[in-house]
Amino acid sequence: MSQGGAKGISIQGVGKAYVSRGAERRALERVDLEIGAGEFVAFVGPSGCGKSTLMNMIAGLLPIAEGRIVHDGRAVQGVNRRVGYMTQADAVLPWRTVRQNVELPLRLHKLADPAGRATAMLAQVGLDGFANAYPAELSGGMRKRVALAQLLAYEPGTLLMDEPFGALDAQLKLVMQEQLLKIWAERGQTVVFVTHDLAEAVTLAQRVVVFSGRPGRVKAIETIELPSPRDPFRTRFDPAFEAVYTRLWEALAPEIRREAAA
Amino acid sequence: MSGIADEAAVVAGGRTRAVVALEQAARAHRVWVLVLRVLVGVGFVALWYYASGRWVDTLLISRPDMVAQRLWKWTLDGTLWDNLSITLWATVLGFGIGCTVGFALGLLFGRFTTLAEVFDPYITAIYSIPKIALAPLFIIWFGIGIESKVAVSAAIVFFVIFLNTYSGVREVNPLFVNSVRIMGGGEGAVLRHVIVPSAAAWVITGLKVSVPYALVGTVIGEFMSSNRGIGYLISQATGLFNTTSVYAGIIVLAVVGALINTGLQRLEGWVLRWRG
Repeated sequence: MSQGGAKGISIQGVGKAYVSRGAERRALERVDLEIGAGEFVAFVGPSGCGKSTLMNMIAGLLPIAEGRIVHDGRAVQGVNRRVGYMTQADAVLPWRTVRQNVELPLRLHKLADPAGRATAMLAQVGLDGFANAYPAELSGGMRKRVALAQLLAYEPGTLLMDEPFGALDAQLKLVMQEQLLKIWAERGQTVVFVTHDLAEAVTLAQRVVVFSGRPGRVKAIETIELPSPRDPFRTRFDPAFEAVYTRLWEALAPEIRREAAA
Repeated sequence: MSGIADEAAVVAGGRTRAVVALEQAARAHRVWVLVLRVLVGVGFVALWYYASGRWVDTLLISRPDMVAQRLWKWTLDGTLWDNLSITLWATVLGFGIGCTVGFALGLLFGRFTTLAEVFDPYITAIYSIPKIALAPLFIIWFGIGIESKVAVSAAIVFFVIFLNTYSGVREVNPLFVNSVRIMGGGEGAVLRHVIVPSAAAWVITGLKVSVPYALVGTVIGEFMSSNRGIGYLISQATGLFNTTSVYAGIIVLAVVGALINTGLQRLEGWVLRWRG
């Protein structure tokens, strides 16, 4: 059973402050954003601009104290079980084999035929031969593919990806991007993708949102008018890529400089 | 996707000559270590045999052949099993009770930090008491039968397992917890799929440390007052200056302890097999 089609996300006046050592720090300032069902949106911005904070709020891992987030027609409150979440750090459980990891969400959601689905999913990410290996026996790139298989296996309509490929080398990153785009083209999930890498954002997303430095707010939004389906190995040589990349970079660069100076 | 093919070659290569050579070297090393081990054991017994009556009075250190004869006699007349069974039973019961209660409370305190904060000074205080000091009290409470020995070893094991489980639960990576929650897991799933397996490494270490303690607790209880058990045998023999029986008893305890530890090492290897 699929969790149903892709669902939109509406972020309404969301802000966030952290209190530490007797001082309050604003991490996020009044963010308003509409993400359509089935849309692929990327967040870019300097480190500490609150993009991961926003992701954690959509996932329901952080309480939303200011404003509200409506996902799939319901205000997010507590852990949001209608999303799939993938972070830069390895969240694959080290004490479960590759297959057991992929089957876990299927069993938690009580979906039919977890073994069959896991087999199919592992084949899709090219890990058929490693179903019974433990994560410690795999390379970093293979562990990422396990995480991807786990994320996609139970077919959440919305994917939250927080620098998922940040730890991979440049070549492997392209391979993973290609795989992600292929799967998105097939299933049309709503994707929110946080990255430091502007080229990655432009390659993947339909819309790129640039955040300002601390406290983070939406500085610019750019619709990426590149033809689909895109090929991460080639898209970057498209003249249109160049133009939109430059426009976004002009919005982003001063923020990075400001954040580095602060 | 050439990257995948390269990785596959690394992980799933065939049995080349290098693999065979490496395995042979490892086997040769194991055989060599085994031979040396046996030599050390034989050498020690030979030295003991030679020294007894020559360098040291036989009354003090007995002699290996006398100890072996005593063990044989005990085996034949049932003394060994009569006493060993009661010691083992007390150890196993104490170990089981201490582990169960320690593990359960460790999980509870690890999950509810306020509880841990409130009880922290008391736990530290009780932990600092040498548990052996409680043995006389347990004998008053539970009598000289097996119950008081079970209580001593349970008290010792409880603390080791409790503190290890607690630390293990506190060390759980919140990333795993959040990940399982988002995937649809409730508290029960988080406990089963994240907390317990993650804390297992700590708990196993606790088990390995506490098995000898459980044995110590039982034997000390038996020393103090009892009418059966290996500890009773040893203390009786000591009173009669019968060092041969004392050594025989000690050897039985050493063998039992080593066997239990080997079993636990197997268990550890199996539970933590995921640690590449």
